[in-house]
Amino acid sequence: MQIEKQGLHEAVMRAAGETMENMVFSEIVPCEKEDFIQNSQDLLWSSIIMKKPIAGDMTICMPMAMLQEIVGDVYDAPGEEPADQEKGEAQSDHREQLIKDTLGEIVNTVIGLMLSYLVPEDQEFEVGLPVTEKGMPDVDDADVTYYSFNDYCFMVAVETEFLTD
Amino acid sequence: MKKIMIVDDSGTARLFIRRCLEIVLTEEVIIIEAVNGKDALTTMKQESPDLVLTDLNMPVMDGLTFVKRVAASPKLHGTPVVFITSVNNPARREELVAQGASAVLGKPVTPKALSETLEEIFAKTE
Repeated sequence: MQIEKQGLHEAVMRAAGETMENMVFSEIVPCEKEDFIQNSQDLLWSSIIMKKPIAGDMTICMPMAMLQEIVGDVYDAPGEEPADQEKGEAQSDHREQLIKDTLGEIVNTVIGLMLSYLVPEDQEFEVGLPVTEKGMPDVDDADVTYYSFNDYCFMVAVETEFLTD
Repeated sequence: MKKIMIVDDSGTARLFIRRCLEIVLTEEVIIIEAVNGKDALTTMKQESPDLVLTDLNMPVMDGLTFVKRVAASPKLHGTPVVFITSVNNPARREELVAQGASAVLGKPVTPKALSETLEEIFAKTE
């Protein structure tokens, strides 16, 4: 199965847009790589492999500040200071886990929607489980698009050998 | 009081589904959670939920194995199992229903889609 680049971009935009609107009630618009690079401190990325009918993977990379805001909205996290350092460290670890989990769920939802738009209805598709890490991912061989959300920019990278121009 | 079990390895996903339930339910229910299919089977035997909402892709035991085990269990079969999954297209829906799913909804689930499905399922079981 071959995927045209234009078709992929449309499917990614639609999938990412629908996911963010339903999860955090905000729209996304395409933006430039430079906008993402300018604000690329403290990043988190999550990647899921595509198993069939096309092999490849999708990676979504977001600034931590953007994810902090999303998690704050989603979980209504309290803003008060912790009573002691130990409790503060435990809360900090817990919050970091929430952030990783949220990004994992975002990429899981986006890849599923994207594939539902691209794969013929009579074919099943299969994906893996998200892997989430800090920093900038290696997306040199991927098709990368950028989107703005509120005051932030994030990246969606899809790598597959079945992509055609 | 009805019991609904949410099964998903993602805490974020469980929270979203719980929030959708809070929006659409008109009566009080008990919501219980499990983090994968194996955890869900254990919890089902203890709690006997009236409905299960489950993800498909999960570590330890995925949703497909879980629904097959529910269907094969003398104690658990008959419990409606609804999939809420990002891996959602007609071919997959057909397979999951053939294995025992009562319905399949796509992620991100909306209150409207969940409401319509719950109405249909509870109408059949009451």
